[in-house]
Amino acid sequence: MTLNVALRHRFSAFALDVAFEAGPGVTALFGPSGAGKTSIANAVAGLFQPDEGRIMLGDTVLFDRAAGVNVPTARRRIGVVFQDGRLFPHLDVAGNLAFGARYAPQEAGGAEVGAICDLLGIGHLMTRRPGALSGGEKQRVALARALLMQPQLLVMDEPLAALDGPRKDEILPYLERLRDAGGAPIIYVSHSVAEIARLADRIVVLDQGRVVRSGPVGDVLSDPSMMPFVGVREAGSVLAAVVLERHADGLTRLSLSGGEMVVPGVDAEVGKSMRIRVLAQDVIVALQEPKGLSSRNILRAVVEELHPGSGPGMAVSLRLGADRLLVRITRRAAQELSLAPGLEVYAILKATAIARGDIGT
Amino acid sequence: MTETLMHKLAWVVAALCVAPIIAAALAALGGDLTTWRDVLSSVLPRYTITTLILVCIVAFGTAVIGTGSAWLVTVYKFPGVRWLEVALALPLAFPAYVMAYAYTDLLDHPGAVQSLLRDLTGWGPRDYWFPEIRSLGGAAMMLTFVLYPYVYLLARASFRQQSSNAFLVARTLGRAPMRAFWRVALPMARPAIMGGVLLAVMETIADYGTVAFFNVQTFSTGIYQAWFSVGDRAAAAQLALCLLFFALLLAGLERAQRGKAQRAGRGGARFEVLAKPELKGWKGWGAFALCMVPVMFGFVIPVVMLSVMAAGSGHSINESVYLGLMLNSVTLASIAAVLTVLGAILIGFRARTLPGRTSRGLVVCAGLGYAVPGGVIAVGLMVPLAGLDNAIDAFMEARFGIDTGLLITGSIWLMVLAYMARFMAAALNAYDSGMATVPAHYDAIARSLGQGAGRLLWRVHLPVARTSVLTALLIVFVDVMKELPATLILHPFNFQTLAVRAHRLASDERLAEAAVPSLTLVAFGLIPVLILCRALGRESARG
Repeated sequence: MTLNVALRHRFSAFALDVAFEAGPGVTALFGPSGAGKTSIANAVAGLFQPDEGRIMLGDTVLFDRAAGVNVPTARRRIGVVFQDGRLFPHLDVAGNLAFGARYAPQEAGGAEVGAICDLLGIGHLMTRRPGALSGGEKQRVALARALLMQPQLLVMDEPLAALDGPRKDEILPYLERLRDAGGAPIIYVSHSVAEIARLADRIVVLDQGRVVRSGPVGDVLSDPSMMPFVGVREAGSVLAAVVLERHADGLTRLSLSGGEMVVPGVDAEVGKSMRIRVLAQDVIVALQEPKGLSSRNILRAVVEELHPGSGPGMAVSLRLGADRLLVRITRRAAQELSLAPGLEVYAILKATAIARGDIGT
Repeated sequence: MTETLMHKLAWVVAALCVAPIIAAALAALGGDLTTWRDVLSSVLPRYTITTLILVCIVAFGTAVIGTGSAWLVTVYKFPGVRWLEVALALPLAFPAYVMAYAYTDLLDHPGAVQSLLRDLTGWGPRDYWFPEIRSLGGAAMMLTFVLYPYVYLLARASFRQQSSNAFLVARTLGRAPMRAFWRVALPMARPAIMGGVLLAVMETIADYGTVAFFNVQTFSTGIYQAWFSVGDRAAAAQLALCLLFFALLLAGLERAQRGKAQRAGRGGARFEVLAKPELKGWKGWGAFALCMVPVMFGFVIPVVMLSVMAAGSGHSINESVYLGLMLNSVTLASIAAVLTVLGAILIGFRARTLPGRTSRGLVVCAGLGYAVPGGVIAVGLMVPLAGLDNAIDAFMEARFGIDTGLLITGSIWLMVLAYMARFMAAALNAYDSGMATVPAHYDAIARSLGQGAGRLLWRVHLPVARTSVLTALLIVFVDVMKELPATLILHPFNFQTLAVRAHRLASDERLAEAAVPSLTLVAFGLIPVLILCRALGRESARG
């Protein structure tokens, strides 16, 4: 099922004017605060009516200003998860889960409830009150509640933004499982590149109410011209990898489409597909293969594109097999190395530079 | 129930609430000019002057007592302060007219005080001067004692919320505590104090029972007299319109003050966070005595008096006549409370789901009645409906030979409508403060989970805000129990309530007998005050 969004709205501070498509899998709406992400999510869920536009889910028109169509939220069957789970405080976990399930098209059987609770690891919480749950548990229950109404689409608006680092790491694997279970398409609103790099299949980059770029997440994040929108410290590429071998010292050898690398902190089985986020600022470029270097990962790559920034920095994209590796160096370094498209170089990356949170499935 | 239907019903409720006020205004304007001239030249100046004097004394008295006691209990530590913080709110349980009965019995010529005086001095009945309780000053005193808690509660909240920084800065700049109070704390709390005083003043001009009992000529008594004694309905409506004008002016002022009170001095540590200075020795006991004065006069003495009177009357609340009255009062108050709160929920729901100017206007209109004295609302309902009743009766008589009597004005539903118009604001405020704690996200979530408007209200709003719904029910219930002027004008002949009975007995100088229904009213009045006190106690325990 595909979501088709085209809308325009004038706010006092800025104008929203976007059009995009979201197919199966996870589509991330990315942008800084005030870019219009949440307004779009709310319009999709029917919580906000834009001045103009049309929203379609599959063949169903959810909203069409010109035709005067506006399906009420209650009948859109779009599950929504907000930043803070917003569990109903007067109901326990089971009551919260039953809240929407009763009005699902087919009432969920015990097996389905069990499957969703297993997927999200909340089976043991049923009799607890929301007040007695941790932030991560609340979010998982909120997610289960949304899933139990059998939504045709799931909208998640900054679902992890209210959680601290460890809680985020606790919940991200559940979201990966949800994505891989292949259910309803997911719209994932976030300003965190790390979350999007782990979860999203496609990304829509928004800035001041407009779509700057949309496409597969690997392509967009490793595009040097996207660096100003992503942020120089957050910019990086997402590499597809397969686990080759797990070493006794805790490192894992991965195969990439253009070579191999070792990283710490992977606990997946051999043969499992991974996605690894490599920050542009963590990569060093060398013209010769260096010797006697502590860095574990030295990959052969070809310069593809150079994109000077406004300051002394520069974004360079390297072709690495089927992947593209984004590198941030100084303009002075690029000049001294005479980097140019087509030049063969070595990309150097410390194994320890890959944070545990940047390794996903 | 569909959402659109619920929203339409909200309009209906608001219209019902505002209709009596508009009707009163129309009836007044419809009167012919000669009555207007009569009203303007004869009674209006007198009513205006007495009402103004009454208002001035009450405003001054409540401001001084309310602010002073609030300041002492918030800022200082002294013996019994925790207990006093709560006790100072207790007089709110009294209807002013009940207080008047108690004090009349105590201070009148045959009362305990003057008897004691005569016994001690050996004076004869005419040998001395004693202040007359049945006077303008007496009425002002009664009203001040029951109404100062409004100022006390609001001023206390304001002092607690005030940033202590400003106060501390003033102290470090060398201001003595008293000067700091006058120059810093008081100006910052002024909007709250003004708000409390305005509420007290609104209640004062709405009061009928006290002034009627003391035979003080104000607008309220004037309306009632014009309505019943003189039978001049147009004059009654015209007086009602004058009073309405005053009331709406005050309501507007109160609203403006409330806005200011919310903006005034926030942030920083609060007084309670800092160690309170302790008043030791005679200073501490002096503060205790000062705060005890309003508690004694506003609660302890009248309760004791009423109890003694009730015991001496030889009547008890268990008698069937009182049980019947109580049943009437409770039934009436329950029906009115349930319908009013239902109406408030509908209006509140519309305001929440369709926020905007229209909804705000609806809330304001529906709540107007709070500023309007019960007598005005009653007149507003009676004038058009009595005409309608007579028309129906005449028509039925002529057409079918059936005597329908007073179909509408003879029913308790008209009273219910009057209470709804009068107390909708109280219900709206209580419900609204509860709904403010239900975040808007809950609505979004519930709707995304497939819940329509009715289920959103039933499964989310009401369960989450149930305490506020109960509070709203209680407040309206007790207000209806105590309401006198509207009940007096509207009650069917065969349907009396505790308040009406107490008023009738007291008017006949059967004060001891009036004490029984009066005490019952105070007992009911105590319920919301105790709930409030519990909240206050929790608050100060936390502080």
